[in-house]
Amino acid sequence: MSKSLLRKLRNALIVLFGVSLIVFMLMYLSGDPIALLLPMDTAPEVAEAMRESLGFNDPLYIQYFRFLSGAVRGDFGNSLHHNQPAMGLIIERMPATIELTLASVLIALAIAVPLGLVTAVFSNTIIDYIGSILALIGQSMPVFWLGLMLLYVAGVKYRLLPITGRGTWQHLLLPAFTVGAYTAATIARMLRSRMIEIMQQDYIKTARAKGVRHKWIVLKHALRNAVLPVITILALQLGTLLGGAVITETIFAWPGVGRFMLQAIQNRDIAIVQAGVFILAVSIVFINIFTDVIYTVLDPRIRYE
Amino acid sequence: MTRTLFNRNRLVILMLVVVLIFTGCQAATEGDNNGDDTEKVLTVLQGVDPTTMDPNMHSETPTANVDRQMFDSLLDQDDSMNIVESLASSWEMQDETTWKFYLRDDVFFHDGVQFTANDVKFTIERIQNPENNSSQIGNYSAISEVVIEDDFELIIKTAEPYPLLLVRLAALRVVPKHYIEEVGQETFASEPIGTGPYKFERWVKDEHVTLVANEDYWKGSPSVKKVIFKPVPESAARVMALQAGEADIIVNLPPHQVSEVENDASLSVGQTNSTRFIMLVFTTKNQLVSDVKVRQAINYAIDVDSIVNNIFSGRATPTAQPVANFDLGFDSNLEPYGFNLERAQELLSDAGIAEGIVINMGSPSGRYPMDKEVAEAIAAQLGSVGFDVNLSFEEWGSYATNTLQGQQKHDVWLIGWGSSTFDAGSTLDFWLNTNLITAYYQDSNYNPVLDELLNESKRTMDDQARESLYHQVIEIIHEQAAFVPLYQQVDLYGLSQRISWSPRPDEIIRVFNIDWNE
Repeated sequence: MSKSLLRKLRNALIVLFGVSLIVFMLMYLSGDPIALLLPMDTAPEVAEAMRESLGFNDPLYIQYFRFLSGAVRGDFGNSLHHNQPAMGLIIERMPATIELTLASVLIALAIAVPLGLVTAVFSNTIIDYIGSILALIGQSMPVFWLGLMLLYVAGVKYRLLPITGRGTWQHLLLPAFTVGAYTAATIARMLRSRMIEIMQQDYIKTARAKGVRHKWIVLKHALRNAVLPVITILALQLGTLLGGAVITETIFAWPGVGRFMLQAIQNRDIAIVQAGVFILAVSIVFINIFTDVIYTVLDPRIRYE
Repeated sequence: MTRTLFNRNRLVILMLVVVLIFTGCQAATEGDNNGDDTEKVLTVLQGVDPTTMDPNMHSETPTANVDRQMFDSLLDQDDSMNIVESLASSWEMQDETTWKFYLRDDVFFHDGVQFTANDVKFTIERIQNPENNSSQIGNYSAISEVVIEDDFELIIKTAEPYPLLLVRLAALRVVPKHYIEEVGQETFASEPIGTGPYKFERWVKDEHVTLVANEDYWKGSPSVKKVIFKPVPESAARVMALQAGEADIIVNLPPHQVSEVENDASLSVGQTNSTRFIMLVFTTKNQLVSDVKVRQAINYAIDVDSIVNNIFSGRATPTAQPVANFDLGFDSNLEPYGFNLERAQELLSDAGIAEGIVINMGSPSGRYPMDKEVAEAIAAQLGSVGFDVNLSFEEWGSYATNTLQGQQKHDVWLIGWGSSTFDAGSTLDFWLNTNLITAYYQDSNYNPVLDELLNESKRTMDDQARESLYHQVIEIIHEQAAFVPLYQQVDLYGLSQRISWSPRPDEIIRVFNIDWNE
């Protein structure tokens, strides 16, 4: 266990290094941070002086190693546009992103588990058809369209919920639902097909033969086995969402990391992008490790291997 | 046994998550402007959050919109962009490089400390200090010395005659020397104090900035007592927030949503000519557009009126020059080429351009209102005179970088431009002066003349003389079709009927000038 954990951490470090190198190169090759900082009609010699004083004229590898030596000490440098430490700026925006992520996952589960179960238990009936169509719609609806429609209906037409900002559960509801809808649909479909498959297994037949009640067969014997792939999807989704649900955050003016990173990318504010990518990579690594642990709890077979 | 354990764990996790969410929800509920009737709050929605509260360290309009409420500038510009008094009540030019300023003696910072000439000197030198990496450093590099005569009189010297000094000083937001020395730059950038009509109250990053009225403001107490700036990046969401009564002013109202806002009885549309204009630039070192006839043909081939009417519903002003109508140097007598298909075809055949020749065109997408639609319309129009248009859209960051580094390779490409000095000089210099890498117009016959005119204008202190130099430049580039000037933008705002306010061409919202209607 501890050996595999160490191996995972080592791999994570390699991934982090690779990611930071690629991001650094892409950012530098595609635009000049100084050009995007100064007003367009600034005299070129002024821009040049600033480029020089900030070290942007040094060879790329020197700039990268300067960044790297700071980063290993936890210093990602100052944001050019905000004149503040980049890591602090990212961390300030994490609570909003975490809040949105957790809420959307809760909403997704609250929709997906009943939907997946019902469509599986009543497979090939009208209930299944309706449920499956709902799931298909949820999966294929573009996020920006769903977001804007929700805003229009709940915010403008019926004035039920606020349109912008963060602070109360009313503010959270629409963005969380927008993000959660897709996850819910994916999980529901996955759960349905796994459940249908499992219900054909021999041990389920055995349970039936023993006279276990149908309810318990579904909830205890089948669901527990069907839930593993759901955990995988959830973990993947969590990782993605912690990087910020960019479109949703933009539409709902949600003050999270995604929207902030997008702006930083557009401004070539490299310190912020690097700090953000670092946080994201670390959280994905930890989620993966955490998922592995959950697997062993849920499925003893994995523990014994 | 395992089942109950498992259930209990699940329950604990679930509860943890719920607790987490609701603790996260406790903060910042005061952002809303509904409810409390005793204190009306003005809400302004912009596309992005300010990057700093330090007015000397950025060059962004959305950020300036917030800091301009808290700080006064040494001079100011009225709604027609004329220089007027502000913290300096009068000034005189002693010689071509020496200016004397007389400061008001009744101005106090928000902490009660009096504003003096020391603060002005401190502000200028702070921007000039390369260690501070201020993006405004270029605006004040002409100033060679600031001499304090006494608390309310100071001399500003420039190394050479510098006609733009007063405009630059009208953008100089004066910061408190004593406060910054006491708390440091970083604290100042998040908890600022100034002399302006509003005091800083709270900034929750990417959520809102809240300012409250400075009742002791030297121009009088503001009628709006509290103002909140919120970033809402999606323009459709800004419009919906306005419709739902969550906002009083929204910026960058999309042209296609104007009628929707106009049709709502509780809303109105504010508009003004922007200082920004949109044009096509020719890279004349490319063979195809090195011929003046081809450039003129392209000018004739583009139907700007149709673009303005169909894409902007008439809310843009066709223009004949790369200069906005507020800028010194704008030639109001100059007429655009106008749409003339026959003339275009004639010129192209004169130039020996065969049907189906490929022209490379570039444009950003999403940087200016409807830029993508405009570029597509132009591509179609160029296609109708026989060009095979290869139109590519680029991400703004690399597009801007290429532009500034003289690396744009397209034959013709779209860009928006505005002078930050209200003077045609910086714009014309940028695009035409062959000392700069951005001189995309290259013609051995005309470049020497243009260079001479532009260099002379930089030394010319007299506004009228400078204007006539600019007119000569504009005449040449018009005749030589160095650009395709398209239209001057109109800034559109969505407004609630609760307020009366008219927008300014420099895009700065002066909350001090806003009154409640009710």
